[in-house]
Amino acid sequence: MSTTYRAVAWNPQKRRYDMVAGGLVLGFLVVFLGVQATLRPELTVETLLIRALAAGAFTLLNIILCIGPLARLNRRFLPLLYNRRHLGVMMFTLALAHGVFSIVQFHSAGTLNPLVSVLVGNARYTTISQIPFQPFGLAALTILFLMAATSHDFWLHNLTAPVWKTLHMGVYVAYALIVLHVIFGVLQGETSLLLAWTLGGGVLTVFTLHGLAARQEARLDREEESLRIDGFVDVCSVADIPEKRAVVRCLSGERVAVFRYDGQVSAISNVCQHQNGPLGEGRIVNGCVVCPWHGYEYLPDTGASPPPFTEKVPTFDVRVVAGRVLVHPQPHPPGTRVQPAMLDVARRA
Amino acid sequence: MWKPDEEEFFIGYAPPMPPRLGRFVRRVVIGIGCFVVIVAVTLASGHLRLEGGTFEFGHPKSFSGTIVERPYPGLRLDGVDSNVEPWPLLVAPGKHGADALVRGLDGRHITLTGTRIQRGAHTMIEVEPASLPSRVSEAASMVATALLEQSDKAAVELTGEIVDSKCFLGVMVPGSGKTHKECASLCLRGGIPPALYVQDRAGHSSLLLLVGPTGEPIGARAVQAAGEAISLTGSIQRRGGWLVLRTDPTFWRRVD
Ligand code: HEM
Ligand code: FES
Repeated sequence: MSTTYRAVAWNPQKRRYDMVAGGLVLGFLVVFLGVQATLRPELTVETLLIRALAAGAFTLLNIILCIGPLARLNRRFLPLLYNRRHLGVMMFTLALAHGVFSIVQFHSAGTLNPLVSVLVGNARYTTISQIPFQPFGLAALTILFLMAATSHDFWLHNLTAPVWKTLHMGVYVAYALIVLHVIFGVLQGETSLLLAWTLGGGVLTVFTLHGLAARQEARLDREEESLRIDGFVDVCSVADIPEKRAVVRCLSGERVAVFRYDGQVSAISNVCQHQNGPLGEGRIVNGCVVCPWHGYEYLPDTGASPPPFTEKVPTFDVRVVAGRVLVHPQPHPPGTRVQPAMLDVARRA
Repeated sequence: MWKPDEEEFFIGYAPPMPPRLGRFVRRVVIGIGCFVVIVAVTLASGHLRLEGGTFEFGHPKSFSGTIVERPYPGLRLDGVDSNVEPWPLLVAPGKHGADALVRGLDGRHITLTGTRIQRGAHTMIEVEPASLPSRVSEAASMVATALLEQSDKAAVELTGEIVDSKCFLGVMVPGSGKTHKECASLCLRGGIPPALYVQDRAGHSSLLLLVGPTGEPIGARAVQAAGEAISLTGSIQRRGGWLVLRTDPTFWRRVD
């Protein structure tokens, strides 16, 4: 566990990120409200707000879900990933406001408890054309709440990374629930083609980007038959690794990042302890491997974060023979120091 | 695949951002900005046009007339011919009917304060409970019942949506349809008079107040059908300017 939570500290980059994101959200709401109030003067203010907040939250969720695969496909999108969790919290805030306004408007001031009304006000769960849509929204909101409440790195450490990551994969469940919420709600109620096309376009984009990114990952995981000497696998030539960078190879089902720096070669797990970021796509800055996602740091020879931090990743034995880099696929326990392979003088030059 | 030597490396907590990456990010952000505006305009204009009434929220007025208790609370306004202009129905604030408020006041002439709800020729008043006189239990409740007994009946078979008259007449827009269904059922549960909204192919529409076979209120029995298309039979009478449909919910058929 970290002694401090460095990824949460505020910095100018995050402040700029939040200001731009907040401005875009505000812009969306203003444009939506302005256009709808002008085109549909018959609507009540409550309806306008409920719709604007919902449309804003859902649009933002689609953007959030596209950032991950975009950053996998093109590293230049990484700065958008850096503070993505704040986008998530903004999205949750909009969705919560939408849910609360809807419950106040449609489910309160009656003779039933508002939440009971959300769940049983329409009891026709078994008829597709009449099925209630609010429970899907409520379920999605519950998931988003759990995610927003545990978004701080404090929870990442206290729930342990695997639990936290599973919880946060819930965003895809929430997304599916919201799509159903919209289909069974507004789309059944209004049968508007424009809304249907927009929804379809969003879902298709999210799916396609995830598919492309998954295909690329799968290609990375394909284990090519390589020469083996003493159990060591021939990974690449020294010249294939740019200085202070890594080459990533999948060995025995695990991705290994092989770094070259200052005339040495070290191999550590490619998987960042923070949120599984690809360490092999980072680089070595001031003697540490820096994760490209949120900047967690690891020493290349021990796989451990420099003190006071305590993250550790597995390390691997490395040899350099005749200009070829050989890595043993058996990982050492996280944080185990491994002697870096030294490059000969001629190569170092 | 990425080409390492061509790319700048971004560390979030170590600004400034490398210049070429910064330009790329700026372009992406501008792109997202345009995208956001387009989506906002598309979604905002994608919704269908709705019909709705008005709710003079925040502008209560004073109304004088004679209380009608049954089948649903109403007020026969002074100086208005109910055969020409439907009398306003009375409801309580929130999703509640005014039955309890006017019980025992049938036939009494009163002045009350309330907020007008209006859609086309139909009006409703959301009564401020404190503006009603305390109940007089022995007051005769003959007027409305008597009115209901007179005049001819026409047997009909109709298909339309079961709505709660309060939201439908203007408190909410949309005040009908699927997104409003739970609200409508909650309103009927709370005693708001149920109505049937029928439209023909030519776009003519009517609103009919629903009562049971003996002219009794049937809000509680219509709760499950609220917001849904229903096919039903009954007989229509004109009362106080309203079309009142006597029908037995036992024989209603859903049109899913
Ligand atoms: C307690 C939970 C929720 C309730 C009771 C609820 C209720 C509603 C209602 C009544 C509508 C119809 C509004 C109208 O068009 O008149 C609606 C639409 C919508 N809701 Fe929700 N909702 C909930 C949660 C959510 C969540 C978590 C999201 C996620 C973003 C969401 C996204 C949407 C969207 C995108 C629409 C369509 C907006 C439009 O009409 O343009 N809802 N919801
Ligand atoms: S720093 Fe967050 S995943 Fe590596």
